[in-house]
Amino acid sequence: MKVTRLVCSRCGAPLSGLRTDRLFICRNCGTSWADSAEGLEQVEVEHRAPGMSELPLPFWKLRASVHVLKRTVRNEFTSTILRLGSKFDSEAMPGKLRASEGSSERRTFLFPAFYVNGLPGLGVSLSRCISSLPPLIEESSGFPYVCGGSIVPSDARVLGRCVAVGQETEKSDWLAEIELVLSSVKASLVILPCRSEVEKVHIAETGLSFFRRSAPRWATLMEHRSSIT
Amino acid sequence: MSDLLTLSCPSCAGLLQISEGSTNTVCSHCDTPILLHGVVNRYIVDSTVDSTSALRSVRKKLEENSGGVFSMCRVRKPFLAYVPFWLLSSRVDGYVFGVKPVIKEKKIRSVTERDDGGQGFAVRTIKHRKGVRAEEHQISNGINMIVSAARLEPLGIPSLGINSQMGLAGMALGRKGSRLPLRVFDSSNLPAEAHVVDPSIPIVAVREEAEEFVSKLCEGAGAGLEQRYMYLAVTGTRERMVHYPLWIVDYVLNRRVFRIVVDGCTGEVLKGTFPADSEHWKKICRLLGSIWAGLTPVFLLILFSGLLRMGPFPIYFLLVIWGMGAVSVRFLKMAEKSAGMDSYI
Repeated sequence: MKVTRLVCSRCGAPLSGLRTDRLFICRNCGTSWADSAEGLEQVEVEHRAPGMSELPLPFWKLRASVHVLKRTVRNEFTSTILRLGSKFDSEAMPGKLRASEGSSERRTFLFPAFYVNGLPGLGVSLSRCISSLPPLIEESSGFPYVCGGSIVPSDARVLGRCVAVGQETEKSDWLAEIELVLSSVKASLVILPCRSEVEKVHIAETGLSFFRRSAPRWATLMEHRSSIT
Repeated sequence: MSDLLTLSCPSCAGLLQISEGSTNTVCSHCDTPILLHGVVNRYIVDSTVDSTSALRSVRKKLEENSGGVFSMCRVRKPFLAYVPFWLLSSRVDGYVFGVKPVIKEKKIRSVTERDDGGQGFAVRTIKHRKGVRAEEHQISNGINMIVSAARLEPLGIPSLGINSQMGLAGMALGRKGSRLPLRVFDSSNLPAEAHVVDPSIPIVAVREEAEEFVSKLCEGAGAGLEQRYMYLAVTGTRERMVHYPLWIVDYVLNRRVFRIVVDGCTGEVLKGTFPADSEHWKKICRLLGSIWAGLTPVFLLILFSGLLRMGPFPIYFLLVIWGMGAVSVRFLKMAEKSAGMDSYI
């Protein structure tokens, strides 16, 4: 194990966060860093939370080409008296499944860079609201203190694929089987201003929220933030 | 041990205090923020139970299971073994697609025959499968899994695999996992009486088991679904080895060696073999002996008093003696059988 000073390689300012954080954003120059096997790796970042934000949280924005290799759907209701096996078998319901042609398209996903229960579902909803995000803050006198980022870029790619599957389930058919891959993935962090209420955390201007209790490290995050302020 | 030398602050060389799962910390001496590349993956849980407390637990358990045996045992010096376990945790997100059977219930009236020979009506519910309805479920779960990192049978403990996760209920490691006070493993800082069991099960084998365990757990999200197709994203995986303290206490009774394993964190007896409880049966035998000793003069008196020549009395007398004899023999056989049976935890 290697131990190094946790400082911004761009401006030399110290970085900090929760003890389990793996993403760090420099308060001085706004550069974001992700923990990797080789050390700190710079990640692109979009600051959309002003310096005085009450609760800025990190989200992953992934732009990727989604290639659907196999997509099979079924009817909502199928009349059959046969007991079917527990594992999926395309031969088990002959004539009742419809396979569609493969497709490729460029999509943008947005989902939390911290763990929250129901992350893929929240990601699907957030990805629909990308156009309604607050404007970019280009140059700032100071960047807000962002902490809680625990999903590293490699895991973000895996979760991005999961959100893509979630988007497929949103279509008005019933999925039976899906195979898809992402290529040309461009990952960047987006810092969004959030607002914490008694039970829920509201995300920027998206109109979306998640329950505080659904984020496993929420209490630690809030404790840490209050100790910093 | 050489790895641990790097766990000092690069600025002031002060010793760093790192809690389990930390990826970064702040030096408590000079306030420098520190990044830990490649998380620490070997921890130890300190034993909070000393050998005297372990022996006390053994004595209590022995008295519960085999009353009065402890005084007859020759208890050997307990030894503290730090047993390795792999502790794996990860997040699983994904989807399960499948179909759920649609069952239709129908109530029908049927004619039944009454006891008095007349006819009556009974309403019966008949269920029949109408078809299947498609369903999509979302999965979002944090998973913790504990697997033995060494073959533990020689220590008298069954090894833990994917199918024995429930068997951990007695061990604090199973109940609390990474919430236990884990300390970075430092072999130079172990108690003098501690024996560290070396790991022999590679992480590759454990990863395979973990994969199987994850898919088993996630199948629970699609319980009741047929034609299940799962899409899972496993992220944030952390693997660490935890050396967990177990007190091994051996004792000898009637030239037989028994072993008891005591949890080094809670002091509870986890596993063990206990000799049969013969005291209870000895009491029964004593009682039977007293009864027979008391009745023998009465029987002799009846035998020589001439009462046996009167009517059916001899037959009743013989039947009473035969009955009591049979009951006594039965009790003695049960006592003999039970006295030879050891009990296990």
